[in-house]
Amino acid sequence: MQCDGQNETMNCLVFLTLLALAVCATALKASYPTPPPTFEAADYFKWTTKYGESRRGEIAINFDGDDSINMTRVDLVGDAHARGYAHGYLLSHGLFLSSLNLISACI
Amino acid sequence: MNKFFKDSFLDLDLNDIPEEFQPIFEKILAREAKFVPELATAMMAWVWKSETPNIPERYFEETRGIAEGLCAARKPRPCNVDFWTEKIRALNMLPELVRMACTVFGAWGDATPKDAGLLQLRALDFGTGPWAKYTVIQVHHDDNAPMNSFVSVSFPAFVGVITGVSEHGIGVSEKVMMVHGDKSIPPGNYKGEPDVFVLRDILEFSKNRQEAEDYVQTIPRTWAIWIGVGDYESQKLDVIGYRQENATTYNDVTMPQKTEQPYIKDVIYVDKHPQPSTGDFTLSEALNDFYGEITSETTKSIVQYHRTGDVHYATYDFFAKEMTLAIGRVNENFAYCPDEACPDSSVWKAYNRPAVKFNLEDLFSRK
Repeated sequence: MQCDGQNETMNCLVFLTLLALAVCATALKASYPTPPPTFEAADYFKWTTKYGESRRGEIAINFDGDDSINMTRVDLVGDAHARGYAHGYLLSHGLFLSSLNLISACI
Repeated sequence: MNKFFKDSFLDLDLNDIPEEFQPIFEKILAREAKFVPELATAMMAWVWKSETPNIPERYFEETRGIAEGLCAARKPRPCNVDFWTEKIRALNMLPELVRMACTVFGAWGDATPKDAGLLQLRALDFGTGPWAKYTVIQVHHDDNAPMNSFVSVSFPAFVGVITGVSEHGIGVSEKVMMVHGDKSIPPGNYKGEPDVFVLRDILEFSKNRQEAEDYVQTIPRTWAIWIGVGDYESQKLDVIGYRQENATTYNDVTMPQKTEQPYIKDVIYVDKHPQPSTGDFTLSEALNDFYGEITSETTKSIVQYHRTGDVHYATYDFFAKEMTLAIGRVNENFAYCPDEACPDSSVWKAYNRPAVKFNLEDLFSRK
């Protein structure tokens, strides 16, 4: 880039200053590693159990060989008692295990 | 002694414990922690009993229903409905007794892309424990009642809400209100409505932010938390400083007065530390670095940088109507790493794990 003459010199200085500031700003910004991926729930979801209008399903995502993400989804339908009943019925196995684990985690 | 409960219980200030339990706590602190489980169970049951006058009837019905459904599924094996009802009710009081350091933020307007709206974060930091392993996405519907369908990221037997969003686009985030000094938690009580039931009430019945903010003024409050409330209607987030004494609403302009963190236009945030949080600017730094492009995708980098969200974190995209959720993974000892002696105990925390994206309209239409 050639800077001849007073006006051009001033423009050059302004340009170089702005360029330097931009480089500095980029250098000061924290560096962020590539974040983990995102999976679409619908691609990995399956309904497994029904109780009345309520249902239970599982999200099971296997990736990176032996790693996995597992979540349970329950759709609970009805008034408060009906939703509670469906909750207990559909999660009965997990409920027992999780309650026992949560309490035994204290021991 | 399991570290999970030790961290939660043995570091408590005795002055925060109800008087009738203080002698037991003194013995535990002086000797061994083997009585903690028994004490914890008794305390949780006591909290339910103490707060009973302010617990709406529907929570009694729902918790009883869980016990009945559980026992029905276990037939012909013996199952005592009354026993399980009491146990479930007590378990639901755990959040009233322990403190969860978490992160809340909302970004909109100039902070998010031009073709986007409000992006709300709720990151749950609870330390070592079994929680992440038992994540349950509960979606509630009642076609015959004036309630909002809502989704709650929760655990088996829990009816309260700590993370969730409703069909009208009310999203809730929660963080314990901790301050610096000897008494790190503002004064509270065990005579009001449990915090997690208040959050559930907001999702189930509020149609917008203003209704939620009006509602929390009307109820007997127990323990201090920050509540982030966003809505579809305004595509903005407020944070309520919810305490026994009062409930004050803050926005992006007024929040920095409480947190002493930098003001960021169209962003309101409370980081994972006690407030005011003056020593750690990693959250504000990351929010500024991604300013204009704060999305559920870039939030993955933000939470990773601030190291927040070990059990789970969720973002609610109010424009795309999506919830993105990442959950932690734990080993047999409930630590966030593959082996017992792992070099990096954070490798399986939610903020280092892949996320799962849910279409909210599909959830609420029961797809």
